[in-house]
Amino acid sequence: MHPVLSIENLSVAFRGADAEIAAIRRVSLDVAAGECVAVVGESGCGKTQLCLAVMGLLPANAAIGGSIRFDGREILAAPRAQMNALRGARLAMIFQDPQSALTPHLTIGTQMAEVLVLHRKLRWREAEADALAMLRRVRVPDAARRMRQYPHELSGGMRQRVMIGMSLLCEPDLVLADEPTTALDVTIQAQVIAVLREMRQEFRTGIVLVSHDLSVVAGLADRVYVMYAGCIVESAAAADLFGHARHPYTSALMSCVPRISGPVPPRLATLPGQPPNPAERVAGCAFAPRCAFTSERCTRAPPPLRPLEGSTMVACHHPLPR
Amino acid sequence: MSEPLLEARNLRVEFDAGRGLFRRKRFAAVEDLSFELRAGETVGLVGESGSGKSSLARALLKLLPAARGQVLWSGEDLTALSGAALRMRRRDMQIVFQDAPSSLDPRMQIGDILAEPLKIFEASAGARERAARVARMLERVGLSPRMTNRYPHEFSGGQCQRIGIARAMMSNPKLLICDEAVSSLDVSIQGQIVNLLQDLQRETGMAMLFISHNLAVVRQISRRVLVMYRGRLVEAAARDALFAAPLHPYTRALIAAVLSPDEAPARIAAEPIDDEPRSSRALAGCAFRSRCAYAAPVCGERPPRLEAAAEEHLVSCHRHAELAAVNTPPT
Ligand SMILES: Nc1ncnc2c1ncn2[C@@H]1O[C@H](COP(=O)(O)OP(=O)(O)OP(=O)(O)O)[C@@H](O)[C@H]1O
Ligand SMILES: Nc1ncnc2c1ncn2[C@@H]1O[C@H](COP(=O)(O)OP(=O)(O)OP(=O)(O)O)[C@@H](O)[C@H]1O
Ligand code: SF4
Ligand SMILES: [Mg+2]
Ligand SMILES: [Mg+2]
Repeated sequence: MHPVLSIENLSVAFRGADAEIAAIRRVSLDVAAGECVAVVGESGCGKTQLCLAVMGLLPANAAIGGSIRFDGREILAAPRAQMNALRGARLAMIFQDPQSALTPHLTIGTQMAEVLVLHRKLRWREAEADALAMLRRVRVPDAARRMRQYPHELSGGMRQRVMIGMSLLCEPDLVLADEPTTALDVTIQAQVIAVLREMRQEFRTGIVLVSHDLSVVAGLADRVYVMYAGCIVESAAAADLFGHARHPYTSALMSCVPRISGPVPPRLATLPGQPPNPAERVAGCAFAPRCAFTSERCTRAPPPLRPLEGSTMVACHHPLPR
Repeated sequence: MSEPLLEARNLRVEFDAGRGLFRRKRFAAVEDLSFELRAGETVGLVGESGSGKSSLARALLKLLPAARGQVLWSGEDLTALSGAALRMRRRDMQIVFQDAPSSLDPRMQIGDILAEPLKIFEASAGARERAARVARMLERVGLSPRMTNRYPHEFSGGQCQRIGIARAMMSNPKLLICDEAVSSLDVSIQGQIVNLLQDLQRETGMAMLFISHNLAVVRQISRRVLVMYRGRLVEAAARDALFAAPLHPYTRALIAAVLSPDEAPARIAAEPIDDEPRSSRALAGCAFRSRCAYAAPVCGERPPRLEAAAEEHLVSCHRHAELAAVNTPPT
């Protein structure tokens, strides 16, 4: 069976005023039905643009190359009508900024019901009933009252739950979840993750999970892709990655997770240095200037993404031992 | 002890809860809330999503009206101020809003967004000095000074968040309120920003109210921590006391959930769905009782009062004394 999503050699670049900014460089990634694939990496490394590319929602100044197949069909250059029919119904996105993704002048109930009327051809009454049930499912309190409220009348975390609920309304084949839990406390977060898990089982929904919260990733993802400066630098089964990171960036990132117990350190750990300027071409490995294991070769030749044991792939000349 | 920089006294913030039969119903997003914040101090604020943290933050800066109670700024009642007098004070109080991208003016380049506070509050600074300070601040939040002519929509979520932090810091405020200000950052940049905030605090003596769902970061940055539940303060304690020996059952459940996220749903009963609007429900007893593992008959009879369980440790729970004795705190 073919994967529900198959991205091959995807590149996205922005034409800026003075230079071209390469946001995504030759990224390949597959999601099987019912699978959850996580994408993690530094702020600004291209995760949101990756999701937007799949949705066909890249900004006007973006140039895109490569291939994106959804359910076996190429959608990278698909006509607008075809994408409109997919979006919201079979393909849904939980946007990173719910505030700007929700329509400000429509009540929550109206915008949710509209999705079902449009894509599922439900009658308004039924659509409203389903929307209400979904709000309850994603644990929005006082759901009936919330249906009649406008987005700005909700708290940040409630808007986020509405966004999640809205994306799941049509039982999509693929959900792109871009930082879905940033405004949720741990207990509600756990409940929302449980809902996403149920969707995978009930409807074989595939999930692309973008998150800076590595505990959320560990709790939901089967496979993790680590991005750095627009490239995939490591991909592995979640258990392998969290057990033994092989790329120096992955390992450095994990060592920066702040702890909830033990002594409080005077300062939090960080990676030294800055990511490369996306407008400039790097000769060798993009991580070399910040890496603790750099050799002469690293600054000369870019390391290709290559398989190690199991299903682990790494783009590093000196991968860490298991 | 010095006079507090900021003080909330019995603050109440209300919103419309829809229309009843005869009159509009109001509900309190923040109810009878008091606390103090001193210069150079960081207070963490945690609590369930929807518990009123952002509403409190806005009311403290008078971006929302107080339905009851007072906000004192260096002893002066802010709720009575308006117009020019209020604008003068505002320079010293900055907030990083929870929804970073939509809090930036989409038509302005970020260089101008960052220079604006200087133009308003430090008219003497020339264009060159402004540009230099903008560049320096961008670097401190991990962004490139070459980005000044870009617009907010050309930045990632985490980059917008850092622009919001940089903007707030430009006028060297005496008070900085961070509302989920590091939630869209990877752990390395999050660490960098938290370290930066602590450095700036040492340099300038600013006070911070740090709202976050990330308890590890709250633990790192706060001297004291406040816990809100349904609009009320349910616990307030020094950082180490709160994390080592939380007293309120909600705080206990919250900390336990972080320690073992897989068991989180089991540890705290789910929010009962679709009951009465919160105002009327809260009247009868403790607002947490329907979810509390320790609820007793008294909890349904009257609301618990916030009281001192130890020095600098306030808690609002009928059974806190018993619970402190019988339960080993989570480690
Ligand atoms: N319209 C645009 N024009 C030019 N550059 C852009 C545009 N949109 C995004 N970028 C740049 O592309 C890069 C990737 O952005 P993206 O939003 O995908 O990052 P991200 O990985 O989602 O980061 P975060 O974790 O902070 O949300 C960033 O450096 C950003 O500044
Ligand atoms: N403009 C408004 N009109 C009506 N109700 C509002 C408004 N703003 C907030 N509320 C309500 O006030 C309550 C508290 O919201 P607030 O945004 O303060 O919560 P919060 O603690 O910041 O939550 P989160 O962690 O999700 O951001 C919620 O029930 C919310 O729906
Ligand atoms: S290739 Fe070299 S520089 Fe790059 S991450 Fe690996 S060891 Fe470090
Ligand atoms: Mg993003
Ligand atoms: Mg909030």
